[in-house]
Amino acid sequence: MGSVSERSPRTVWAVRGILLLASVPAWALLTYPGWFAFAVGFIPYFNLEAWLRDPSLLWSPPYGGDPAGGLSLPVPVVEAVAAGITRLGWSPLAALRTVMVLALLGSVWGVFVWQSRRVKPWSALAAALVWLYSPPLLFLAYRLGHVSVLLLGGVVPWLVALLQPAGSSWGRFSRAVGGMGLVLAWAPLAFGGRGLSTWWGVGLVGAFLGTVWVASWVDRWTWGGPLPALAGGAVAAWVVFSLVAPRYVDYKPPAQPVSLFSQAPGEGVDVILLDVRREGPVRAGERFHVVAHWQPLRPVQSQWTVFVQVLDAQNQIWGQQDVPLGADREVSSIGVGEVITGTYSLSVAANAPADVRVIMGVYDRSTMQRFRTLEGSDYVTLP
Amino acid sequence: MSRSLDRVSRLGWVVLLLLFMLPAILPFGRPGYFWNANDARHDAYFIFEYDRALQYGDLYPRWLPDVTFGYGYPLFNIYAPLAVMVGEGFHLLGLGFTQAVEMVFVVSVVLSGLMMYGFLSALLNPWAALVGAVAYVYAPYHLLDMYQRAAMAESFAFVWMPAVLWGVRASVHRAGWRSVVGLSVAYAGLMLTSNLVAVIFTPFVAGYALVELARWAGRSWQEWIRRVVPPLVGGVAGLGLSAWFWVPALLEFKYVNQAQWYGGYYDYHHHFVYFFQLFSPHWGFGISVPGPNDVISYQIGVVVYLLALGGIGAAFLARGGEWPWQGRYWAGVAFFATFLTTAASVWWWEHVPGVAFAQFPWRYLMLTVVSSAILVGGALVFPLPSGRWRWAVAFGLAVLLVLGSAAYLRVEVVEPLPEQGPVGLPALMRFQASEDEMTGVTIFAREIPHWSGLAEIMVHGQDVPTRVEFGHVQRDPGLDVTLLEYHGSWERVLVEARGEGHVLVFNVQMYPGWTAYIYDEQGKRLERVLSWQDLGVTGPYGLVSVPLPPGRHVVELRFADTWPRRVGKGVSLVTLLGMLAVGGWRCFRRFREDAGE
Repeated sequence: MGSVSERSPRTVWAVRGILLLASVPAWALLTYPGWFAFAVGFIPYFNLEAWLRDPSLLWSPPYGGDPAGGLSLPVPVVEAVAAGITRLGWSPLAALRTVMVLALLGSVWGVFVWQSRRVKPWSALAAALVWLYSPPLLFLAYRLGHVSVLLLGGVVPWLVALLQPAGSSWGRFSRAVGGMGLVLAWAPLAFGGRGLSTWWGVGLVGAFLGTVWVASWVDRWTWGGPLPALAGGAVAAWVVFSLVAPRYVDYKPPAQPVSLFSQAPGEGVDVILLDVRREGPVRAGERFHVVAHWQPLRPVQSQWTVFVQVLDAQNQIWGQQDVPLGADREVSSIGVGEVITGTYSLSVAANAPADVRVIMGVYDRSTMQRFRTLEGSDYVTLP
Repeated sequence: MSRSLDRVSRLGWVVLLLLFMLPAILPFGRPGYFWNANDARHDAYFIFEYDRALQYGDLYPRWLPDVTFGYGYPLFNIYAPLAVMVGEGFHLLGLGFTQAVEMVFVVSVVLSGLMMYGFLSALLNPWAALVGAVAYVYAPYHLLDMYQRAAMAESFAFVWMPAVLWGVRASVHRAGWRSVVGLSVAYAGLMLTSNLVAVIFTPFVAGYALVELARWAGRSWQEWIRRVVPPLVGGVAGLGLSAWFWVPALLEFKYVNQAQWYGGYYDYHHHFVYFFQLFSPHWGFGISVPGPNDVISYQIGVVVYLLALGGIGAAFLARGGEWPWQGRYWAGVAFFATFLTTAASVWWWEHVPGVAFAQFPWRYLMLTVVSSAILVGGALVFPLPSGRWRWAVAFGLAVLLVLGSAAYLRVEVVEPLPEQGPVGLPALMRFQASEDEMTGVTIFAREIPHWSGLAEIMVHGQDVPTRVEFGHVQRDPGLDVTLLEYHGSWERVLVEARGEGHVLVFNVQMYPGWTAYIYDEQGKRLERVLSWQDLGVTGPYGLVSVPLPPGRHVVELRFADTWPRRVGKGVSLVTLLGMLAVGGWRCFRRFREDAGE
């Protein structure tokens, strides 16, 4: 092959084109026409829906920034951008997914621009791909679902690129730090846990610094054009998607949840009651059914039990059923953010009064302690 | 000496490639059979039916008598048979039907890798060829075709696609007799393996031939003609060699119920691939379902995809050489083929003739696999490090490609349910009844049968002694029938019709080719021949009914050749003889030249 100048405009454009195409596997999964089993569940969606109904909520999303109790980041940018996208006729879920796609694209592009100021385009490409396919970034995108933090990750590289003088080079120390960062970027896979823990935060910073090391390392090579960058990206993508493959959720949520339950108020939400519907009339001597959709934001415990009760005005029980939240499934097989369908059948006592109501909630069978809703109640009343 | 060294080196590459293919073959080494794979049962029963026909002395059974609950179906008149024939070859060597199916897949893996290697080593270099061939074998859709879809014909077509490209390239560049023969055999092989793949692949082959010929665009017209003629002759000869199959398939497909091939579940509108599915790493066992929640995967493969971008980069950055044109062409094919799998291409499916022939949009991923494997090879057009490091790079990339698909290298071996196996007539009947599969009907049937008297016999493990519909005979007091001889695709009976207006109904679906030969009482003198247009059709299942002349006659019903079949056979024979004649003449001339020296 005839040689092409490594910094010729043709090369630069080719590298940009390759970068754009190489980023596709990272964000393409976000075009799934549904949602994902995120650690934050449908919370970003409910926040957006709430804000679309009432723009004054912008700085105080009703369902919190991180309902799992980690980093709370109620940045209104996500809501603002997503709301803008909904004006194009897209659904709120699609709008949020689009924000995430833009965040990933902005992120990888920012790293590329930052690195290409000091290394060859191929090397900047390698750095950008290793960043894009780093476990913390894709874990954030596909498992945690923190749209705000992801958007922050899309902006920070640009800020760094703007602050870094063009042509400045990195010393040995910086490169060493970058190398360590790369190790840290992959470490959370082993230690990171399910939430936005410190490990993932450290990993994210590590991955970002790791791009310095990758770019410097690849910059020494004189062969293969984009091949080392693409091969490196392929290795990273293969490993990361093998370990943190997204879990799709095929469920159309209502505009707002029925309630959010927490075992220990103030320490985050444990499970969301997404929707509930009653089938059949609640009459003395008759049987009716309740179908509910739950979304756990913490690993489901076998002791977590759903109760459904028929009460009269004096809170006397005329019908009851208690069923494990996971129904007949092994709790270990239920992922955080997954939607669980629960069906409950109750018989109303034959001598029950006509004026009864149906309530529903969750308790821990080992402590007999009921979970609390955001409003402080320990049950919800079914319509 | 250098030539022998070259051969040793080439052998070394091939051995290395074979070693790389081992992981793709190993899943078929598990004891048992992947009964739940989409077409696994069809594969085994196709070979079973072919084998039964062979036992009747039918070398090429266009009509399968036992399917559709014994009413039969002209499957191999419209469905390319080569992969089944290869499977039957393994069965004749002593393997069971299910083992024979697995061996077809094993052979398809080995040969497809070798063919892609051959093509890419002719186009690029051995390192690129090794990596491209590994990408070809381990591309997820290729694996899906084998392990989950159990698409025997389509998997075997993966052998011929690079072989055809290799033939095109060789015939343009070397313009020799061998390359023309190679191209014609490869193209005929593709057509006889899967006419569906041949149809959707051919326009892209034609495009590739133009890319190859473009190099000679500035030369003299004599030179250009010299380059154009060989691939053209090779392609036409390939069509000629396979005409015995595709001419009747083309002209007589209209006589089968199209809705069973393209309607209902098979309506392509339900099976477009969602964009995210092209990159989703999920892998599971199931069938294609409407909507985005397919269990099976339509991914390109992240490793294959990213490495193929290297080939695209090289196509736009390389100066000189062939790759800029080749790479851009294959990049275009990759994008266009992938586009055709998505709902964005619905206009093409609805308006461009031939596109919908693929049946399922995701079938175009085959072309994505071919083109992306070539592009992966093209990534090694960039300067590589010298010496040992070059080896390391090629080897490392090949290992990465295998690892990238390692999680998908598995088949789901299960014990057969009663409606699956063991392979035989009873399970075949139960399979048809439970799944409504292999129950194809012709346009003469108004209803799709759900069971039959013949099936009732076969489900108990017995063979049917006749296709005569005796219920009809019993209802006709003026008709007596005595069975004489029965084979799968023909039957002889002695009939006595007392008076005019009697018909003899056979439990076979009407289809072009059914011919009644009416002999005298001794069965010696042929009195009348009734072609399928002269025969009647009876009942909701479109059964053949033969109008009988009064008196005692021997009636023979036979699935005979129609004019498209005769024309197809004639064309194939003429092509074969022509090729043999030219080949013989060339050998003779060379012999004379050698003798002259």
